[in-house]
Amino acid sequence: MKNIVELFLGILTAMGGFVEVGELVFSVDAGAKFGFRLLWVVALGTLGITVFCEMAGRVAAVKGQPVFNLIRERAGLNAGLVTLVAANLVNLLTCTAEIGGIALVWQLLSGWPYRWLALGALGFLLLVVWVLSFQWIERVFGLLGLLMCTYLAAAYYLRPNWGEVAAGFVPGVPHLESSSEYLLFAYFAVAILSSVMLPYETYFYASGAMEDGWNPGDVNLNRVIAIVGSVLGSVLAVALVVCGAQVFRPHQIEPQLPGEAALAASLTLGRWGLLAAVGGMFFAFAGAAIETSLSGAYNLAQFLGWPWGKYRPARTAARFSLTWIITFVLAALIIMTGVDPVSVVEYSIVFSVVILPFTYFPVLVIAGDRRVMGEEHANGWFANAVGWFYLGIVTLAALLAVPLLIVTRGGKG
Amino acid sequence: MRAHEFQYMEVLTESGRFLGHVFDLRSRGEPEYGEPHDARTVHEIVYGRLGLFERLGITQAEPQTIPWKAVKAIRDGKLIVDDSVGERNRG
Amino acid sequence: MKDEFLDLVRQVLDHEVVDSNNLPCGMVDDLEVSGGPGGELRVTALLVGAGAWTRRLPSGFEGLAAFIFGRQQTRVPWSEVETVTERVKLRSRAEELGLGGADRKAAKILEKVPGSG
Repeated sequence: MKNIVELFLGILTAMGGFVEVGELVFSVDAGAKFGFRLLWVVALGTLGITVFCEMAGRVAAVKGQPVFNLIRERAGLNAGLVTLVAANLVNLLTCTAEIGGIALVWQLLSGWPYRWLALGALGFLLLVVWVLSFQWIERVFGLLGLLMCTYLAAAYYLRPNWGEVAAGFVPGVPHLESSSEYLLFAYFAVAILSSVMLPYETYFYASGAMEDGWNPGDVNLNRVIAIVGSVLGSVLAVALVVCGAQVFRPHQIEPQLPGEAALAASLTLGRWGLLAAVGGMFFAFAGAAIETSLSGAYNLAQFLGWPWGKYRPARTAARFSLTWIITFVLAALIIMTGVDPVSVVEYSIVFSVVILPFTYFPVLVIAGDRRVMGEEHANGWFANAVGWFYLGIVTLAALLAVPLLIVTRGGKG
Repeated sequence: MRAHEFQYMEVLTESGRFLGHVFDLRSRGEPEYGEPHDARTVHEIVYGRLGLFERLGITQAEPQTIPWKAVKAIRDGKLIVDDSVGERNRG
Repeated sequence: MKDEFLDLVRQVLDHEVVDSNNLPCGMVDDLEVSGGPGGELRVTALLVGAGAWTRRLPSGFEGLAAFIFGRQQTRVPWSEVETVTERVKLRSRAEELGLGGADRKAAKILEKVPGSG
């Protein structure tokens, strides 16, 4: 019985935690620019994140050790350090973008100055992570993030041509007007892939498995949660693309701010839809901010052998606690310099994909290593094939990301 | 000395033949299970070929061993071993 | 089936160290090796701390890492090693061996805040 509840909650939490600010902004924008023609990239990225989350979770469950301990043991100090620095840079960037997102959402509601709201967001996040246990944080932000389902309703009521939506899932490039449009399409493909496959999700998921006390017997539970939760979460991303396509494309508007995405909800569902959408965005962004900051702290502590875990009183995992605190503070400070929050979102997504191969490669190698995982739990031929295929894709995306950013002048074409 | 200095050290015979890189220091006897030891004696050097795939951890190199007694010197950060080792471990 | 040997790089170096209470107190950041060619070669101690692992980095990065994490290191004699499995377990408590000091120092900063345990 406990397992069913655990399964259910795990799936809902994974679903509610799927969307974050970069995904929201790029999904809506992708819909506005290219209609449904990038939906296959959402699906592609979802399968990828599912595969890697399952691998990371399996490694944690089987070894009883967090992923970063194993990366250091297996890849050695220098290679492991590269992965650590890469992953934590992305974490900091993403956390910064999320705090900016929270501030923008609050600005939508209150009209107060954005920079002071970032400070307020900092205070809120510090308080919440300090006071609440890991399980409470997981549940509250994951489940309340499900308010994003408002966009599912909004997408439905916007009456898209469902045949065209389905066609969008077929991989392909639409016929476009000019070469710069093709480059823009490629840029959005890379950005959406990145936003769906952010590495913090993989590492956080594995550490979360340890916070929740998983063991080798939980491997199957892990698989189901990873797959179902991600697929359901991706449905939210699809809904955002549909909203972008139906609301903004006909008028050739380029939505940039998360607030504009909320417009889609209010158009079809009125004031309550707007409030629910805004609420969903707040919990999704705050959840992501928390996950990225904790993920950075987990990574550092596990790599260097510090005591870690929210299950420990803060005083007994002091450097771990200071790390997530400092991460939040740094992220908020960056926002308070007044840097354009949308640019922060953009850069965080682009640089995340550049670093993605470095963070995924060790997970793939360790999960497939029979000496480490044992015959029974190491990657089967299918997981290996899919894993290497995705490593190829993210490497390609990583190589193209910065050139595309430059050539498309930051997605403006 | 420190263990990390041995990692990936080049292994050469006295006559200059290149054998591979050091992977590990092997101590005979079971891993500690409660009995105190003052130290672990290193009985063998584990070495092998180190290509790109091995460095990345994609493939495992074939490990070979040399008894520590066959190590003649450490010169310029390279491990110099007896010529007879090169003959024995050829192929 | 027990292993008949111990590979010190694969099984000890860069593995987690826990004390007698199973509290994580660092990683095996390096190993002290005594002796040399022509005689015995013995691993005599674990080296734990930033001072040990930063030395393993390429020279440019060593300085930066040492600036951020410090140069402190602790020598743990091999006789303190109780078991070597996934982790290296020690016979004594962290404080007795001079480990975990950095975390205790950091704890002083947090002590002022209510709810730090």
